[in-house]
Amino acid sequence: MAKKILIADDEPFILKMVTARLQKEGFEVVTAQDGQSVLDLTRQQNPDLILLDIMMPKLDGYKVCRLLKFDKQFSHIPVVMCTARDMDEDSQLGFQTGADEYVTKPFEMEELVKVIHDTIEKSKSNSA
Amino acid sequence: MTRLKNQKAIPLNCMAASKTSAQALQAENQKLHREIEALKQQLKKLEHDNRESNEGIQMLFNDLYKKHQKLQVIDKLKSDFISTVSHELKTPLTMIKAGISQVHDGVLGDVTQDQKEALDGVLEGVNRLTHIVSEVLDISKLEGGKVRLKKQTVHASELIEKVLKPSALKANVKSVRVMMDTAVGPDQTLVCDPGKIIQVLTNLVDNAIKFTPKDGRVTVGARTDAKNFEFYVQDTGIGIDKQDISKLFVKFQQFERAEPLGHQHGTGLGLAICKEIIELHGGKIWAESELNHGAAFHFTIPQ
Repeated sequence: MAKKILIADDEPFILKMVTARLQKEGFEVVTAQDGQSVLDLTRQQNPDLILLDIMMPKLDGYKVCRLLKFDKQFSHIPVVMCTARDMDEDSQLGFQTGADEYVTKPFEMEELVKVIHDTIEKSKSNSA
Repeated sequence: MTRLKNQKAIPLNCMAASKTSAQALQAENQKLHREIEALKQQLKKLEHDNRESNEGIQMLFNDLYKKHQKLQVIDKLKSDFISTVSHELKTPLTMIKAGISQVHDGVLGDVTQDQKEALDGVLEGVNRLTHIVSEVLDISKLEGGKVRLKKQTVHASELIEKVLKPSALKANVKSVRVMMDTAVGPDQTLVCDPGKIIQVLTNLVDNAIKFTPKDGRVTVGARTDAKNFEFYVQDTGIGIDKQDISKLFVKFQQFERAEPLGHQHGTGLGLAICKEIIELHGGKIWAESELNHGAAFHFTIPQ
């Protein structure tokens, strides 16, 4: 069965491009443009991985990640933070909130796909 | 006779003497009183001056404190500015890169060889722009003290291999051989921020390849003594003029004669970034070279 990825980014064009690439890779894709939608869609869709932008309206990526990781129902879902913010403190904060991986923009599509594959693999072996 | 006279004269003299000495004492006493008064006055004045200068110091201190607070606000603004600009520049870059790679990689439909080549050029431009943006942000973060090292124990040979792998491609294009000094042992370890040291070594190796003509050689090595771990990058390239060596690590310095044909100018920030990173580790970086006799860049990391 195809793995389901929830992509969150407030920039529609980036969403569209990443969606096209991940669909081509055989993933099923769900998209969100703000933090609140990420929480709603996670509840409804139960994705296998969340690709999370940090600077988003309503709830930022840090808060979304913290809320998900505090919730026993969702804490097992791997989160890949994906953002243009790359100050060293940012990535530390990202990991402190429970993110599994951290990718900085502008990313190489191939690299992003690889990180997604690897992170899903890792979470599978962790839960097994 | 004189002796007797003299003997009688003694008590008289004595009385006179005691009288004069009493007067003298009184005079002395008065003098001391005056001196005490004068000292008291001086003390008063000193106390007054002291109070005044204390007030002055307090005012100066308040002034400095206010300025310090103001500077902290400005520093915060600068950090926020860098962080915001970083985001604002990188988001459109991400859009351009994502869009072009999708078309280039055929995800959105078939592309002809000509179209692919055109997109290769655009991608290279975007990558170059991204590199410049990162360098400008890197130097601001380093100079602003915003970079904290994530130190760990790593193998020197592994670090060097991580640098050489991606560099080999650039070297192959130019027929330059890039290699690790065979003296680097597999069990040589050091404590550093590996990501940052890879950044420094990559910069030095890329520079070495850039300034080394066809069939030349670039060697990366490491050695260690009681206090320091030392890396070096040596090339057989065009070398550096003696007068330019001291300017190498100053930002925005570029030497026109040194830029080989067909190479783009960088920001002139690469080596300044290396210097900041090495100094953050508490180490030193320097270059040894002679025109037309290659160049060697060394840096140390205290252990």
